[in-house]
Amino acid sequence: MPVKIQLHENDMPREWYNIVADMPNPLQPPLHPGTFQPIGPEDLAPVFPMNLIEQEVSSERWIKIPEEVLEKLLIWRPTPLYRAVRLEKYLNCPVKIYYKNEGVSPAGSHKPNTAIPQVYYNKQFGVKRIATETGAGQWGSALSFACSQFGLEAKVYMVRVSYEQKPYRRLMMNTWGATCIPSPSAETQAGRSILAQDPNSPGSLGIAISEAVEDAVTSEACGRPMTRYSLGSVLNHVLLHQTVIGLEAKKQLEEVNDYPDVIIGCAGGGSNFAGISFPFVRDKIAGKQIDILAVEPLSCPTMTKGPFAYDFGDTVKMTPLMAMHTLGHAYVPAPIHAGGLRYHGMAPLVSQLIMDGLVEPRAIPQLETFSAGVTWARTEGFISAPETNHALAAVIQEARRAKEEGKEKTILVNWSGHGLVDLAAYDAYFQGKLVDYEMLQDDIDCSLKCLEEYPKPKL
Amino acid sequence: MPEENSNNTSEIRCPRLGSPVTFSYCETESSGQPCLKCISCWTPYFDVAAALAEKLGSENLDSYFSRQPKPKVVTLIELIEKARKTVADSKNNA
Repeated sequence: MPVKIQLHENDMPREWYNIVADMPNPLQPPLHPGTFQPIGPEDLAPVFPMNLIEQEVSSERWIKIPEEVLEKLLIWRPTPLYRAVRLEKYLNCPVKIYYKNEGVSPAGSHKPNTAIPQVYYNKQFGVKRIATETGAGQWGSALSFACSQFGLEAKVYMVRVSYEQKPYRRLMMNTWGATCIPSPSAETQAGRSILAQDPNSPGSLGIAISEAVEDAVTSEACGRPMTRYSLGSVLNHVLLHQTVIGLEAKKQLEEVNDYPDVIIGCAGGGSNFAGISFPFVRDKIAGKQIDILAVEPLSCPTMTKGPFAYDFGDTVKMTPLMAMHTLGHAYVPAPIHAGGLRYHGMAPLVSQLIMDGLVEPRAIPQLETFSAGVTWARTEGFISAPETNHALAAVIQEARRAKEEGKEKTILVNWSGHGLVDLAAYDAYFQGKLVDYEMLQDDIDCSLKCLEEYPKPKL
Repeated sequence: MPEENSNNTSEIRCPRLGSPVTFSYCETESSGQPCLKCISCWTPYFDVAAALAEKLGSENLDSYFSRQPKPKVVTLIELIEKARKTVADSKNNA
């Protein structure tokens, strides 16, 4: 029984899989609050090159991976598919567990799978420079690596509090030749206005994205080389690029004559989940019996608690009506529950698949996720990123469920990145500093009544 | 309990940033206003709702935290318009 199932470089997928072509129901477009008409792709042209926007709105099932992109992906791809034999032995359940190791990329996560093609398409479009924002630096480091491969300039606005506290990711960016500066900065109007109010501002993701977008939109007017913006999650073309993960996994499983009964990925913005699962969702649409789990933290239960509906983004109804998993714009929660309900950055494609019953959301408390991460490290050896631990916790749940049901199952999970620059989170767990909590269903049920008056997304 | 940093200020790990942050960061994270996750992240450690009620006013607390973040694509379109206005304003002032 092989522990690692390697794919030959010649067998690497030559096309990305676009799930839009096979979805039983079309994606619900964002609606303008005034016209109630879909927002068009032309609105995004100032920040993205048109060749990427074409992918964003494409309904072609297969999109060719350019040779220049394949050449770069081969630096670390195909990634190995592992059989988690040590965890299987530890759990003593009737399951085979396979994991796709995306932590072997130069940046240590799945993010370069889209950074490389995004930079390539920008270069093809004539872009010389890419601006982006980053929190702790995972996306910023992936984009910096990709820019270095194609000879583009990278400008990363890193949230100041992370810039000062977590030097390792920004040092990775510097090593790859990127310019990484703390946000807010004096280089944009958005940054200067914040610094004028508070010279010691710690920054935020909102400020950093404002700076990066301003950098791109104003580049030519300000005499900078042609610049565009880049995003590492949520959007359709980002999820498309990640499908190399699942396409490789399918081939690797074929080599050992296996096929998963359960597929698991953690779901923040949705890109690594989409990467492992979308090629198998296609099989499920065609009739395969597979459980496909998108795992999120219990503190952010937009997928698990809210229905799919058109809703405004705020209580005064100023934002566009969006088809989303929502708990109702007029939700007036018990304060303890409020914030977690509002973080809602899930990719629209994943939301739609949940609504269609093709993907099952699952929320797991943080203590259970860290416990799973530690179990994984002490069996399989690899130390996982905290986000990845959500998927591992679901693996353990599914293994134990199989034992209870007396069924043999094959589980496939995306090991989306290592946690070697995130050990402080493990330290907090070991020192007992993490706490779990959950929401009240009564509050949620009450709030959802406000959605009854709005149009319903096509089901 | 959250971790004490060198300034004796408590810190917790921000799930969005992936970094340790103080409460002062969270209560001003959104253009000077609290992060919408602020209450759920800090409630295990102290009466954050009461602290924020002082800042926002108890009558505004529920309405503030009942807002939903805008979808990413909508945020991008708004930021593009804002940046275009910045360019236009600077040309007019020149």
